[in-house]
Amino acid sequence: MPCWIALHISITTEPGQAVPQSAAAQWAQDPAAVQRLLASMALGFTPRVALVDEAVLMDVTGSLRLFGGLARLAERLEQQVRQFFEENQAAAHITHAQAATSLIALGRLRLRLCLRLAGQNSPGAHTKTRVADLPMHTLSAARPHLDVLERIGCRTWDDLLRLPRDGVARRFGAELLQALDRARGRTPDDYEWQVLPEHFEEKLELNALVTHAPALMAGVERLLVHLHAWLLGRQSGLCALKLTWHLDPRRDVPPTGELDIRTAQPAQDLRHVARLIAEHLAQQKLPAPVHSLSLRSLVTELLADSAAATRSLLMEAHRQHAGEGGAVELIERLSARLGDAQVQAWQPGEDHRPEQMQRWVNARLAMKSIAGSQRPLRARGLKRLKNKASEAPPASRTEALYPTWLLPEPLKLGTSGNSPVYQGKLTRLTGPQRLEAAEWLLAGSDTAPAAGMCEKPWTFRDYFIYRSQQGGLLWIYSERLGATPQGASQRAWYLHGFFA
Amino acid sequence: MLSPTIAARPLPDFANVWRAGELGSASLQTVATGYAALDGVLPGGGWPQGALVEVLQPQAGLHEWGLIAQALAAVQAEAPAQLTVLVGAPYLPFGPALGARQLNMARVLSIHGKPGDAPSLLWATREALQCHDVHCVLAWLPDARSAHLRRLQIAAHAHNKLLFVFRPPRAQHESSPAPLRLLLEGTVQEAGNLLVHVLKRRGPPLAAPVLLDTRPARLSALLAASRERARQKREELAPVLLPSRVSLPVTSPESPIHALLDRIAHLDHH
Repeated sequence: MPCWIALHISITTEPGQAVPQSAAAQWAQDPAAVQRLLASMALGFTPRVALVDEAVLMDVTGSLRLFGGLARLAERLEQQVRQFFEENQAAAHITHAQAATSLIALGRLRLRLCLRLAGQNSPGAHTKTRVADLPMHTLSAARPHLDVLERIGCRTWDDLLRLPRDGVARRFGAELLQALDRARGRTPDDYEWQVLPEHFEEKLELNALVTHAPALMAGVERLLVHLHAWLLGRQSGLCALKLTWHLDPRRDVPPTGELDIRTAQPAQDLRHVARLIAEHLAQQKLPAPVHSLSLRSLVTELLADSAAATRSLLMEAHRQHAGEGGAVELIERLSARLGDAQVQAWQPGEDHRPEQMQRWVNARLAMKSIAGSQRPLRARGLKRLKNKASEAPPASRTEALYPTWLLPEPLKLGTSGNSPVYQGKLTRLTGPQRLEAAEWLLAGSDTAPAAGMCEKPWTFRDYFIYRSQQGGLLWIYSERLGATPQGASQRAWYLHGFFA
Repeated sequence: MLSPTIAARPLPDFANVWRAGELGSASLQTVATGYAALDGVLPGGGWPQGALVEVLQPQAGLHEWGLIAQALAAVQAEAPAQLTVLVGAPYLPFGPALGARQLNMARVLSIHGKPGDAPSLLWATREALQCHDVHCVLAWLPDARSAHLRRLQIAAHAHNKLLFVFRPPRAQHESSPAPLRLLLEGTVQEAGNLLVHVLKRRGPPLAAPVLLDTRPARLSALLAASRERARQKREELAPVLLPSRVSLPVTSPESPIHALLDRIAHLDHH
């Protein structure tokens, strides 16, 4: 049995808190935009959604089983819509009615709206209104003839149905009869179904020229609201988007500037995306005033599964994982403000030289392993990738006799006599520990080009542990005597780490 | 006028009341430091969870890991998916050595600020504290002021995270919102290498510093062996002064050097 839902929404904003430029204030003046947003969200529940006059009609016949029945579907839809508008500081009044055909659902919705306007808001009393008792004005096709119908005593649909068909057709035209047939399910409904585009793309003219990049956020947020509704309708999560701003054409600068934002996990809740955009915009300098913005979704990922539809625990867990405050979002936010190179994660390396034993790499690239997935993703040298692409990551070696801090670059120390000096005289405790890395060891390393010799081709070092006057232990090496031409003449000492 | 019997009656024991004469412990969630001597002087018997621990030391990078690594390893073992975040670390943490202290380096995130950009480090610290996948934040904030630390303390408290902030000792004379303040001092003693002065805690002031041996066993053994060898060398050079020691030949397997070297080898295979 077919099942239709008719929805109507009205937005009210509290006069005190409405910001003039906010989305909520715009909606209060533009019911059509709100209706379109509602239709986008309704598309997440069924592909058969139509805009008819002031209402949104959805044919949910095919979706009832997936969502666990009409009551649950309606409840979930209403909750989603309410939450969507609440996030944007707007209070939504949603009215819905259901019936076996679209026109009856619409008629019931209109009756309900009328009753609400009249102040007789007693829920339950009018939900079971008989189709025959629906007043004439709830049928769109009858609206041009309301006066005449009233005068001949037709007040309800039933009254009209009792009249002879050919007389009605002669007097009021065929449309009224057709509408009645559709309302009774005798002829099929054909609406222009709403379709969401494959990619979200929307342009927004700004109210005023903007010269300061962070001030673009107000416009971006309005676009993101629409994007959010689009994502809900497509049951997708956003992975990448492109934000373009159009500069004042009278200036001698490129006409547009743009920004790509990517997230590691598909996001439906766009607050994180908004924060990322804000971080990037804060670093932008606008060469000329901006008059409009456009937003385009580049990559989206389908989140739709039965879990998403029925809001099972799986989906909740997914949401929580992707939600505000996860490790991935932390890394993305930090990288956005500080720069990718400033946020680092650790990776082990296979080498004997201490500086090659580990790498601190860009955390955004190594995100998969950090975000808690079980198979770590490694960014490695090409050669190594070829040789052992599928192998497990190198087991990190542990060694208690190494220092806990390593200097990024060995620090050349001054000498006093034949021993090194660092913040005062040093006392040698242990050593030497010899380290050699010659030609064949270096062949596979990233630092040595295959044919050419790099600056320091060989490593011959003697490591010592010294104690400084502050009581700290230092890891100091000397280039081995005679290994390099300079080493033969004088011994060079380097500080390489601290035992903390 | 107060009657003397009322004053003499013991106060009822409330869980949330801390008497200034005792160590505050009742309502505190703590993580054991791994050192019994230090646990004994800290309120609650360990590092306080959800509070700022301020550590002052003469030079960044001297004693951090020895002090904290054991507690960190325990926390990581408890929640292997959680991250440890380092903010503004003075040098590169060296994975192999920290791995030997049972730290899981794959779960460590290191954040650097742009040079001379102290506010971004503070921001990063707060962001990390607010992230629910982070359980511990170590921050090196030499330029932080008391007001900044207060915000960090509030964030750590609100999100119940372990937070260590390392600062230079000149901060000693500034007021601090941290409930626990420590001053570290390196020392050269047989029994340990780190003196911990407790500057501030919920409890009576601590007069004497706590001496800790924070080095891993193998490193201590190696240092002891070389100390022993140096002493023998000295004694060989001056056999007249200490004749009793020379009676034991250096090559004999009973000599202390051999014993110590055996110990290192044993630790190695352990």
